[in-house]
Amino acid sequence: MKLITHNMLTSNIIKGVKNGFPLKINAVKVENITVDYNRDFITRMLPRIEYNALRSAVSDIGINESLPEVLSESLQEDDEFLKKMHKVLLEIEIEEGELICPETGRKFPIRKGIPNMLLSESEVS
Amino acid sequence: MNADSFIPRISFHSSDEKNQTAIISLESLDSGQTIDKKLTEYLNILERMDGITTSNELTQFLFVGNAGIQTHVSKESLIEIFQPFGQIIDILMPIGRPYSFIIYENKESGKEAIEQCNARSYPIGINQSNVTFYMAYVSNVPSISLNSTSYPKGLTLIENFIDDNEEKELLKLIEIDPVVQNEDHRNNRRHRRGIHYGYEFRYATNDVDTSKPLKKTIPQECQSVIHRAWILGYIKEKPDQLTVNCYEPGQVSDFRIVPRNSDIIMTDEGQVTIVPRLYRVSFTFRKVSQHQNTRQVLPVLPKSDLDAAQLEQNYVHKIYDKIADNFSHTRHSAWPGVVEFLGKFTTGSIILDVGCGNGKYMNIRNDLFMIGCDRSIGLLQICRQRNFQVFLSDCMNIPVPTNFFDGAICIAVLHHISTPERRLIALREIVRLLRPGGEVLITVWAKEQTLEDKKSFYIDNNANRKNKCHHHKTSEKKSLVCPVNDSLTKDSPIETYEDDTLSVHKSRTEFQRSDCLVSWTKVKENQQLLRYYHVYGQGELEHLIGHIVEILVMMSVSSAVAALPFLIQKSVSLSLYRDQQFKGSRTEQEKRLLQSTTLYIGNLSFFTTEEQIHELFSRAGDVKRIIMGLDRATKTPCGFCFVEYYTRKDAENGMRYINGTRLDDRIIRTDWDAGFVEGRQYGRGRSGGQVRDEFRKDYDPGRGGFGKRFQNLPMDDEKTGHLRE
Repeated sequence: MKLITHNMLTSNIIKGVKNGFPLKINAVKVENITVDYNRDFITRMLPRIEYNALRSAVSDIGINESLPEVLSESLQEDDEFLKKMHKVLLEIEIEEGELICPETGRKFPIRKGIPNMLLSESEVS
Repeated sequence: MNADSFIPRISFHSSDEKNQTAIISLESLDSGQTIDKKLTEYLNILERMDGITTSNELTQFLFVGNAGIQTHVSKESLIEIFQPFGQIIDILMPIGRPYSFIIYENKESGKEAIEQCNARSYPIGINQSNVTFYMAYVSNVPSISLNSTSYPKGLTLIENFIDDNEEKELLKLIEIDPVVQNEDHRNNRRHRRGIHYGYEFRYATNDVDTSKPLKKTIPQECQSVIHRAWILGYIKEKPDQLTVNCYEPGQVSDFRIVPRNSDIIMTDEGQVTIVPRLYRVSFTFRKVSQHQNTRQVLPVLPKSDLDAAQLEQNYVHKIYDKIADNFSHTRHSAWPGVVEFLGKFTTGSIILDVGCGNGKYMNIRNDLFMIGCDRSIGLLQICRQRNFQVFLSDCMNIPVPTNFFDGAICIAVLHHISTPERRLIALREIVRLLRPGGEVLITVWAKEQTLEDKKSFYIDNNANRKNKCHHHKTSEKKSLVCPVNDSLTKDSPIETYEDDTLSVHKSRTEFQRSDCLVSWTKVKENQQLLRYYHVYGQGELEHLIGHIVEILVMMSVSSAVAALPFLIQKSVSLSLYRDQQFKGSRTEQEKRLLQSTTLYIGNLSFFTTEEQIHELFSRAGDVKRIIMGLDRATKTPCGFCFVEYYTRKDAENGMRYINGTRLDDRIIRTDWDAGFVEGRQYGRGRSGGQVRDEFRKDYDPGRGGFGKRFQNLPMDDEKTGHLRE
């Protein structure tokens, strides 16, 4: 699971959960992979990203990547920043670990890079 | 063979210009364009399945699309066709692929082969039907099958297993048996003669009828061979069925050539071809598995939500996990409708594939961000191997934000859900995650497989590509008006049955019922796995979708394909504002707003004319009429209007593109209106204009200077001018 995918996952399907976002990450095994850099793609992806959630994801998995606190407009043109975003969003794969619902603490295991978001009948609204 | 589909024509194949030979051949009339298209199709499959790409330079590896075990082409026919161009080192026919590879000793041979054979048809398919090849050079071949002497997993070749005497004894069997002679025609399968002992082996279904044992059991002459195989531990159980096949020279079987007097033991899944030269006889011993005798108890239609969940668990989810690998091999051709749909999105669009399976649509475009979800972990693991982003979830609870995705696809998923309520939940869930204006393409299996007297691909075995194209062109596009109905079953085309037990659908026939079980044969275990299907009747999906109010466009593309495709676009969401003077319930009002074609326009200058408004709003679509908001007392424009369009779609465009734009140097505001009624054109403020102009304190040159009350200081003490907007 890449961080871009994490940025689009919520636990809002659990009964009683309002936002369920962002899911906290407990990463056990993280892999770095290489993905071709596409500036246009990253630029278009930026407005769709919940920046604060991405920052907390980065701190959750404890990688050495400092993201500026605020996503200012000038940054969105900054090549160095875009490359950093490319790396953070697309080149980190969480292979093993778990996602944790911020409201209920429900854990969703990640095995072989696949988050298991299945809920039992009694958990869904 | 469907003879109509190929037109005989004379073609000239010249090796040198002086000596032209006319050959009358049966060739399909393919234009150059379709040849390229088909070749690309096969190369795409090659890249997806084996990660092999074409080479611009000559190589000794020749790729032959449409010539694979899957397309029932034999290795022998390939040798016959390709040997004349040069020495062949090996021919690879990977299992489960619709293509083969010819490895030439000399690079130049491939070049000549392409020139001569590309896009030509050969009568080498089932029953001599025509097969057209599409060819290219590739950089390499799949490594697993590089060694031609390797056999499929589970297959062991034991040379010289029988001696000359035993061979004579065994061959006598077929000479003395008169049945063989008589059954030449009745029993011929691809021109081979067969005789059965114990049970008759049914090639069509790959099984035997255990209730009909034959009088002839395995003859005594075979016992020594069986006994030896058993003693040596090659087989664990003694066989009770034997098929003896005779092949005339030049005939083809499913097996690779086995050296004389050798025994071949197959314990695992495997399918290979043979290079036959001489008259051959094969003996195939089988052990009929006994658990086939115990009759399977079939499930019944679910009566509660819990039943439904259980049925889907046992007859959908578990089965897909079991057949994942096998299934994945058969699912690699992308349906053009989906490819076309995905082609519409702009770079960077975010798309969710609900029920992504092996991810065959997830790399159609690499400039989109695609996420897939599926209920089968087995299929998702295949997606991960291909580096796709996926998560495990069912389609009724998808853990993603609301109003977010630009698009979604849900291909061949909703027919696995077993109650109408659950189907609607899934549809609502998919619409929920789309952003307003976002679109989803849904396909489900259709119950009616015959349309306008034309059989669909699914049941028409002989259908060929050309017919398919034809069907696509004549397919009719329909726009439908959402029927709003509160009850799911009322007026619904859903069938009800007296007997609730689900029955197994007979493949390649019309569906008898909407709810049925479809079998998947797993070759390896010779086991039939049943999957639950709900095939959709005419209008059924439309009826379901009609229950969702947030939908703008529905398009059903009815065509003679087995699937029913459906396109849905989500509406622009409503603002928080509601007209307090609306006569009717809040729900009724929202329903009206979601279907309305009328927009309310606010913050206009008093001096903006109807012509100016018309000009601006016509950009979104054809405007039916404009009603200017007037001051009740003076009957002059007072800063708002209604714009009515002919279609909801145009009105949505107006909402999407014109809201917040500038007109006469003012940022105008648009919102949905439930529809114009007489009297609404007048301002509701106490002095005749709009309420907001009563209380405004600033100076607005476009709206009559200062607010009315501010102007007439001292302020009126009366509090009756209640804010209504």
